[in-house]
Amino acid sequence: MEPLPSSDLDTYASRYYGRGKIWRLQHIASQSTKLRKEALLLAIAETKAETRDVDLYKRLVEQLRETEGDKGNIPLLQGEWETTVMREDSKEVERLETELQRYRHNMIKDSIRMAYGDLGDFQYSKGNLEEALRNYLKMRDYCISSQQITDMCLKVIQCAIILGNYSLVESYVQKAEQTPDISTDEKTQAKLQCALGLAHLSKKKLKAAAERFLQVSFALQDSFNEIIAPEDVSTYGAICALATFDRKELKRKLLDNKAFKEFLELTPNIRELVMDFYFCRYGKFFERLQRTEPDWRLDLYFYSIVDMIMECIRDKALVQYVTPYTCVYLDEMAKVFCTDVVHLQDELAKLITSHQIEARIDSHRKILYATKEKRNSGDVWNDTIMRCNRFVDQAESMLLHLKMLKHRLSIRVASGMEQQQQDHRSTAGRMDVISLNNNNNNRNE
Amino acid sequence: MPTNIRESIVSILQSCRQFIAQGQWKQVRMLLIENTPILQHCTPQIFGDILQQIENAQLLLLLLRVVSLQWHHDDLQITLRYFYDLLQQLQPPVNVIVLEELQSLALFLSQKSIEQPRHCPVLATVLPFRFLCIQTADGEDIHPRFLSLFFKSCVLSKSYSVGNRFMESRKWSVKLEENTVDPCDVLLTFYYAAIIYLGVKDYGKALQSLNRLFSVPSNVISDVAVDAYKKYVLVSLMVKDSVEPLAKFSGLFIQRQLKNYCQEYLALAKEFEQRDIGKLVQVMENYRPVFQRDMHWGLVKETFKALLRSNMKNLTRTFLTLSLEDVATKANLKDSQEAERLLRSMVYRGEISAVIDQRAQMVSFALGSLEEEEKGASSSNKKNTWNPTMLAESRRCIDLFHQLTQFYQNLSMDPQYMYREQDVEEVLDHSFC
Repeated sequence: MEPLPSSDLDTYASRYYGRGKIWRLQHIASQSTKLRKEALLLAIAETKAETRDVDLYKRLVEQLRETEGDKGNIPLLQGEWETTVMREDSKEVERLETELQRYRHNMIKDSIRMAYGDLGDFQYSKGNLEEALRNYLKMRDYCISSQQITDMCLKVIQCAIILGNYSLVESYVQKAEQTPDISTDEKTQAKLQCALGLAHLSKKKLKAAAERFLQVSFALQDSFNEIIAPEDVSTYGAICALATFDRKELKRKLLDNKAFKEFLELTPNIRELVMDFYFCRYGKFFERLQRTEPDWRLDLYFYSIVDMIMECIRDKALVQYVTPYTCVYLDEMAKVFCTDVVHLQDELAKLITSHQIEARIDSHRKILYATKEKRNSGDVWNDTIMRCNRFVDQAESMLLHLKMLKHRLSIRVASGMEQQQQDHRSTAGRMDVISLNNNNNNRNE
Repeated sequence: MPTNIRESIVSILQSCRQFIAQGQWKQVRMLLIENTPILQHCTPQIFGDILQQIENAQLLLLLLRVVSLQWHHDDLQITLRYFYDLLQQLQPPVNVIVLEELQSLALFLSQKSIEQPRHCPVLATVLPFRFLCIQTADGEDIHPRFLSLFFKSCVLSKSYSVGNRFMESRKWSVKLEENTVDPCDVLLTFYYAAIIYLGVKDYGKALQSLNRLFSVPSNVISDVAVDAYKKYVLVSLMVKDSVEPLAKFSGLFIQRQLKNYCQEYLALAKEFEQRDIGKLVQVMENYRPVFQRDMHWGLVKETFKALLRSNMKNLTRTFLTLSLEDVATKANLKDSQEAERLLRSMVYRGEISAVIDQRAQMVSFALGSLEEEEKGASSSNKKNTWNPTMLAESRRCIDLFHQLTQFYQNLSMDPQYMYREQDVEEVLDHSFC
């Protein structure tokens, strides 16, 4: 089923700018047929306004042409813009490279750094992201002050996020965090936390991502809007926290987090979602969740983990619901969770099997009974003996291995001389296996 | 003529006895080898006569080693009888030279019994080889050649209970402190031990033996290791519900290579771990020719039954009551009747505690299995049940501790370890650490 967003695409796109905006719009165009045209038009406009990437422009126009077919207006490929840009670019590249050569010849460190930065920015604007990253990385050797190091790191991080190279993101976030003056620069710290949060999201480490996003300072504002908007920080942080934090952590790190409250104010829907969950208003919670889900499926960083998050949140809600009870009527619970009893029973069975709920289901009367795990001494002995056995087995195996190594006994490929001697002595070594295969016809039938 | 030969052989043996008195067993062997042209005329009858005259069992075993090579296949039974009789007269300690020749003799007899089952079935070698292990044992340590031959004879003659009783009735370990130990024999010892345990359906011990097999240092893949790994996958699924990774010291290279030879089994394991009966059956049918060719079809069927039982046990932990139809659906069974049959068999075996209401087509599960309930019955019963088990396990731990301490002490005093330099090859390979 195609995701339908809850808000207007224009409003959504206006939060972002630059390559990040184009990238998000491309993603929406690929996920939604209804929004494809609008998204592509916005992406084309942004490409022309903010970049010098003629190839991207052409690709977007082609995609729009494929979508529209014979019908509809398609912006004509603006040949004039393309020619102008390409002419200017060739001159600009020459100028930048000449400057760089001159500064390198004169060994002016700061100028070399800036020249690499300018070249990197130019390549970034052209869409040559690998080349841009290379130039940003070359700046590293010419950075002197902490501010210069931080700026360089941020450029690398931004480029790496767009390229999807999150291990580089992590490495440069760490580098930037080690600069001396970083503690006074709240805005930069906020950007670094966001970058690290996105890196954790890409690896599906939801709890770590939640921790990072919840630490982002509101000083971020719209300084990082090419990659992530404050509304996204609110969404990612709150939803990942819902999926992974227990109640205490939710209260301490999210609800009592004064700094993060400002982000939540930007997304009232998410704020209400969190409150509904915390105060166990499950009916409203799931209704709101169903309404908000389509937006997440269109989000560039969230779409691949939506199913996982929904499952985690639902499981947490189920566990939270049954925790206070000794027995629960499944039909009432099914109404709360907007499902039928059969599906609810399956969900609960899964949670019981994975030991998230200590309970058993009376399928006949449709009641869930909580069970307190009684660890009697028999169980303790059983466990002890099992662990002891395992330890002893492993230790005995290791001892055998060590003894054989000590006596230089190991099975290896025989040299030609050894093979001859072995063949001469007996062929019983191979006879063993051959005989076994021939004579063991009825062993396991 | 036979009288002359007998007298010649007796005189040779008298000379040998002089060497034996001086402890020169190497000379004894040399003398026998030098006199092979005379000895090869020794028939089983002559040997039988000499047996009455000479009392030294070790010497006679050496003689038997030399002369039996020339005897006909028809005389195999007699050879085995002489072998068994001499073993019974053997007095420890057995000389190293005699042990070496016993290895060759035992190997020869084993080989012949396999090649000539009409003249000497493998079953006939079971008891002599068992005696060989007992008589040549150095405390708990038994030579791996003898163990592997004994276990092999048990497997080939399907005398699994004999092998199992031997292993259960005594503490045994492979003797490695001999110059003539072949690592392949160690491998084969544990391989055949695993098959014996599989034969008596002791899957836990079979898994233990297979783990021990993969502790044998190796940098090549052997047919035995491949076959053992296939068994390991299946038995691990039955015992632990998943394929446990091999120990680190088995070598990553070996583990990766083994997996290449066992793709079908790993596919089966993957479906088993998903706990989907339908897909498991599909994989079983897809790779049935492979499993049948490997003679593992029976084990595969046992693995399937193990999954059914495991799924059923999960249901008992999740539900208090369930309709038979739901049981069949959740456990991927054909219908409620099959579910009822399986439940019944598991209740009889004491694996689960359940009550079936046939009229209502419902089943009620109690907590735990019947076994666990009986164990938890009373505190005095508990003590009676657990004390011997705990005692046995504690003893095993203490023994292991002593072994490790001894090993550590030997290592610390080893000159090569104490004075090792970079260009000197170290005694121990720590690459698995």
